Amino acid sequence: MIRSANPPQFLLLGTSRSAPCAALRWRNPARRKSVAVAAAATAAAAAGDLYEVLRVKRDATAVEIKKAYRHLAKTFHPDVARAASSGSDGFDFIEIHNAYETLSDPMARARYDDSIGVDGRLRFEEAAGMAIGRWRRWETDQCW
Amino acid sequence: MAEPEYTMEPNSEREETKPAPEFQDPALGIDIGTSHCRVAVWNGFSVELLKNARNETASQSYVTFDGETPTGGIRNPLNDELEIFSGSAIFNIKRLIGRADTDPVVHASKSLPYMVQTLDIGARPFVAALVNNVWRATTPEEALTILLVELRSMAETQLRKTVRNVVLTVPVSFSRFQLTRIERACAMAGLHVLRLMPEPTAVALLFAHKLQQTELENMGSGSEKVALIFNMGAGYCDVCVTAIAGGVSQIKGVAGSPVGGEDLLRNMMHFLAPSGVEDIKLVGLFWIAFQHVIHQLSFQDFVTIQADYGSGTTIRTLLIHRTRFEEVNRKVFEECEMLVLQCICNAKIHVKEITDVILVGGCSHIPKVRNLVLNLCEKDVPYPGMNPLESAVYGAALEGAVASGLANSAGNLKLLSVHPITHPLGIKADGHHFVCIMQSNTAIPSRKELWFTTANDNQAEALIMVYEGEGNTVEENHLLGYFKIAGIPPAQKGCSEVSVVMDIDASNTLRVSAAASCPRSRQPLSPYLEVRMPNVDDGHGWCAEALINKYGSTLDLAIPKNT
Repeated sequence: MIRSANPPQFLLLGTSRSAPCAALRWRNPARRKSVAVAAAATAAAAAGDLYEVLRVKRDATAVEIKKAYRHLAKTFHPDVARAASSGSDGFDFIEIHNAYETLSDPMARARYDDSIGVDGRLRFEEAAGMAIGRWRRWETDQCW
Repeated sequence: MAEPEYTMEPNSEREETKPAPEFQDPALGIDIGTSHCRVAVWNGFSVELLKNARNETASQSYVTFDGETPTGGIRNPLNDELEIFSGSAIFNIKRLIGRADTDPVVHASKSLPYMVQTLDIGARPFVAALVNNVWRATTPEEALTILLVELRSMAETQLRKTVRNVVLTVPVSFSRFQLTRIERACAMAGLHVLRLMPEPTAVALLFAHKLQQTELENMGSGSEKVALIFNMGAGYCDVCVTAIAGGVSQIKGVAGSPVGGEDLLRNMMHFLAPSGVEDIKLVGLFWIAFQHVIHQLSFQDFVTIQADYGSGTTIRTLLIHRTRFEEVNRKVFEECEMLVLQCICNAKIHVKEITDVILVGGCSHIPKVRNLVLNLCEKDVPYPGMNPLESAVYGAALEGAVASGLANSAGNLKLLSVHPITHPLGIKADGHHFVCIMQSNTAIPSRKELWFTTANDNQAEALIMVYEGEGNTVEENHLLGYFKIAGIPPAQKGCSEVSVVMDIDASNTLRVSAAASCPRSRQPLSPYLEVRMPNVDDGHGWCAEALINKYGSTLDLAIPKNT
């Protein structure tokens, strides 16, 4: 119920990113690079979709999604990413986790599938229009 | 706690720039329990439990005073258990740290043999030990620091190197303010906290590690396990539900409350000596006797003890049945039951999905506790391979290795714990409402943004008051901090937009930033003001009152009316 009024999360992240990044930038120079990297990586994801974030097919089963999430977590979670010196500050992981949150919940996934087109073809105009026009001000993906 | 902005850790800069360090020392895992504390470390192949001077893996958590100088139970173990309860030792530190003197848990601690003095004004309670017939005041933080210093030197002697980084286990119910007190105690002891880990999530990580090992041995399929972990120690009861596969422990839900063995003891005390015992020596004697009784009742149906009620003439023999014990502590067991149900509910799973039940902590031996947890989870037996007392510290040591960057796909440690924040976070808006920005089950790290609007016409400034807790009004919750943002363009109430961003990094450090933005465009008008939380000190209850007295509702925020 909560997610019904919300646009898909990737849109939220895409549009509201400028704000938190601006806040981040002057905090830690090391983070700036990684945010830029993450932004570049997720720009593709935002233009693509949550399935691409998790690197699974549109018709992936719940088990596959879970597996993909775990696999990605083991690469992108800041705990392990630091060891692999990929410079991740957790931003990628947040993205991955958000995608997983939506796709692992059957209701949210169905709603999301609707928003990107039942046939699986992404309708950019519609998604973009939703971001600007029918956007609720409430922006958390879980609270409301 | 997170990235060392200031030089808590001199090596940090070099570590960050180093291209994939070959070998890094794993952080020490420390479990400071209400009654005992333990230290363990990952030695590259397995977890090694460190021993104290008496060759014991567990040291009692208490601090005594030798004249002016305080010493802890690690360096100076007392031979006579009665001495701990003579009023000269401070113990149960974990139940007092970071709590205001209005807290019911602090009030309950007044029955302890040492002095806990409260003035009920929302400040730190006074804690004092009886040294040479003088009450010597100290603070729970100071007592914890002494313990940590001793644990550190114990570890350094054994490992033959300096120890700086640590992972500590903490109860689920600890507020962020309490966590900062633990961090501060660590900083005073010269330790840098990499992670503060809820106790059951540490046990979950150990479980993930164990599963991984058996999988390797049996070439198992690696199917998913859903475990409910119930951890009840002397001071706290914590529950978590975790889904584990392939070395990744994903915490689905947590719940915790400050109930534990100490409450069982106090209830027994109240039941058997309802009028209260005045003499400190007697309190100590009773304390030890009832500990023994509770322990015995786990294995037999009744216990007899001889009790001396003060005058020295009337010695009574008491026969205590297990059923009576359970009756006296009914409330405690009900609370345990509620925690398990709440945790399953938080995790959004069905009881049937639970594959394993893990019972740990000193109170997990109590038959009533075992039965109630197993019944609720519809299981007959708990998972057998867990040491009830040592698993938390083992998990902390594993997390220490993971957080130090030792876990990778090439090595022999391929573990990961994804855990959520334990309490909802939000700000005050719409009068005294608590508006949640981050829900309690949000995975760490995370970032959330929410938009607010002004509550008054032409309001140029707004006060951001950050709270933590489950209540719907701010009064029920815990104030973490506050700051003011300025430069909101003049407009009617409800038109201006204020963005509030909450950012939690991998080490669970909370940063709150806010800025005013142009209506509709959502472009910030000024740089975001970012504040690390908590930023209030002791007596934080006063801050909220003072702010309301000073500003009333002039700087209030409101939830925007839906467009």
